[in-house]
Amino acid sequence: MTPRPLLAVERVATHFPVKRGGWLRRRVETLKAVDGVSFAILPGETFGIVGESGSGKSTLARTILRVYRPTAGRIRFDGLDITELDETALGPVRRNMQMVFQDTKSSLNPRLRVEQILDEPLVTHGLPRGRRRVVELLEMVGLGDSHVERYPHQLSGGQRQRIGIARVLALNPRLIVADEPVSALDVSIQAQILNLLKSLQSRLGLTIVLIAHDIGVVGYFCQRVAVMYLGRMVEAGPGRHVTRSPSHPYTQALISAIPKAEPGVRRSRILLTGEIPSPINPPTGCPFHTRCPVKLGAICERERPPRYRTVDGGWAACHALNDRPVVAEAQEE
Amino acid sequence: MLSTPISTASEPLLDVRGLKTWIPTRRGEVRAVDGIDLRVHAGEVIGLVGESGCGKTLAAYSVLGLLPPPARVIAGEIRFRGDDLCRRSAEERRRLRGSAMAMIFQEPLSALNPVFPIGSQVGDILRRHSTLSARQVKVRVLELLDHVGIASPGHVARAYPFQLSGGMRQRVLIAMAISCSPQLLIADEPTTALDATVQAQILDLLQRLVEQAGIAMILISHDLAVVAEMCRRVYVMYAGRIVEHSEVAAVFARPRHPYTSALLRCMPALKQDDSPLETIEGVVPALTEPEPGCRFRPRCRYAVTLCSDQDPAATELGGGRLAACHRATELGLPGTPTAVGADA
Repeated sequence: MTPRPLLAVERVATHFPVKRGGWLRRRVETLKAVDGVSFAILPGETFGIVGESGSGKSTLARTILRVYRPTAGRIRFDGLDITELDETALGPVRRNMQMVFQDTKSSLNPRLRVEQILDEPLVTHGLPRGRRRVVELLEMVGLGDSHVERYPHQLSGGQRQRIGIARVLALNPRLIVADEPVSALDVSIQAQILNLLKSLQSRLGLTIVLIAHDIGVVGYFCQRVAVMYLGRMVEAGPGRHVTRSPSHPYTQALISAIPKAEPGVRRSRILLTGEIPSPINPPTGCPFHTRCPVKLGAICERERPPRYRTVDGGWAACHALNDRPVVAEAQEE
Repeated sequence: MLSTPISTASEPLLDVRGLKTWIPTRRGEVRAVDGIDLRVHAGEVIGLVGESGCGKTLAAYSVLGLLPPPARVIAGEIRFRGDDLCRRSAEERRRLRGSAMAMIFQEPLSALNPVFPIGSQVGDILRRHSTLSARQVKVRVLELLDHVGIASPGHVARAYPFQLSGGMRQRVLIAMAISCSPQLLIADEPTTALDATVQAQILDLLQRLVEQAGIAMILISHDLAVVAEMCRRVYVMYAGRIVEHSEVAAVFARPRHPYTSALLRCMPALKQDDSPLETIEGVVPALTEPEPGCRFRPRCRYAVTLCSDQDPAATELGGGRLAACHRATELGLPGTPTAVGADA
């Protein structure tokens, strides 16, 4: 029997109304930021979500944490359906699912000292407080006593991100969603933060969803990786497999776009033409068909590709893989 | 191509010697660029690599004469086509900018004026530096936009910067930079703000343009992988100094400075296994009053007593390689596991 997933996301869609046109010809259109995404994460797993700007990965993160209420679909946290819960009922759930943000300048209150920043979640959730707890948290993230009295502006970017992580750890959550936690940092500092997250994950048995645009970071960090394009997941599978031998043409282009740090080797990149289409009138059928180098024909424009099996429980949603068995999108109960 | 020696007989297009760019502050002088040597030959693409605050952007601004006050060049020579730019007047340098040397900025949105259409901004440079008529300028603008891979030049020329995507804006900046066929192009993190697939498009475009037109380029980046793809030679900067210089392949296979080695080994994209990433503990030192000795010493795992007593000078290691490390010849520093190319 497979263990119960800690987080199960089933056919979730998050749409936003957008007002277009002047006051005479006002019309409301729908921006489909997330458009039918399903996945499940087991306890203790690290799951990566990769995508470029506009792919909907941040909206998905916020939807998982119920910052947004999804337009359609179900979100289950540890078996509990949280899709429709109101704020009061969400309180205790939120303690167990926390977020680490990208921009440490705007996600830490500049008027609070480190001690107060780390105290806040403890107050909100009625947990034991005190200076000892604060120092304990700081030590967990590799800082110490000397940082207690500081303000965020007195810390470096890497140190601020450590505070952001300590603040999340204060609640002892079961799930951490980290949205681009290292993309604002220098490479040497990036490595420090990734190592910290990795050691915390194995020490505390955390489940981590890591969202990033950098497939190198995600491939290194995560056991399983999903690739998003225009509000949809196009491929998922074991981290090593997705980053080394991708099956979906978009993932292939994404990987080949990354400079490989092999001097003297001029690789043939798969250069995509044009840019990601607008999520306000997204292409029908396969979202990638407008730029796809291996497009089959009309079927790609008309029909959403199902998930075809790749390796080790992985799949890719591409009509070109139709000689393989189809994987069910969400577990029916 | 890589087997040719680094130094060529001809005089370099750009020859920077002992450049010091300092910024006076209330707490003393910030030695942002503190005595760097850098050479670029005609038609050559070189990389300038370093982390935030290492002085790479200020070094570029010094060359262009675009230093934001109170930063200023306090020592050194910047020879461009044999002529020391530091002795030239502001007006003479202005005439060089745009025509003989040009820059591509990291943030295309802030480098463009939000209230003028694209066509007029590209045209401004042509109007300033050429004798084309108004009609010829218009035609040339459309040609340039087409040349940088913009699908509908007429439409984009009438658009405002906010109406374009990041990749399109960067194409526009590239069109502006090459509009007067400069000999030297400085690209400061040209793709850092862009998505991976767009970055690939822009790097490809830059590579094609400089190759076709024989433009020399200084590519400033924090990303060693980008530099590996684009450049033959690389300068690695740390805390206002150049700590290593060599052919890219040699740097990757066998770095000679501990900072370069650590930088290569903390890139997750190059990892082959699940072992922890190499990190560089600590932070870049304050540059107001640097301690004596090597500036990387507080973070260096190979530091010895000599390193805190004496500032290491850049040492010639043969074949044009330079490293500013007391132990450059004795340490067998690890490079990238995937690096190809001969051991230096």
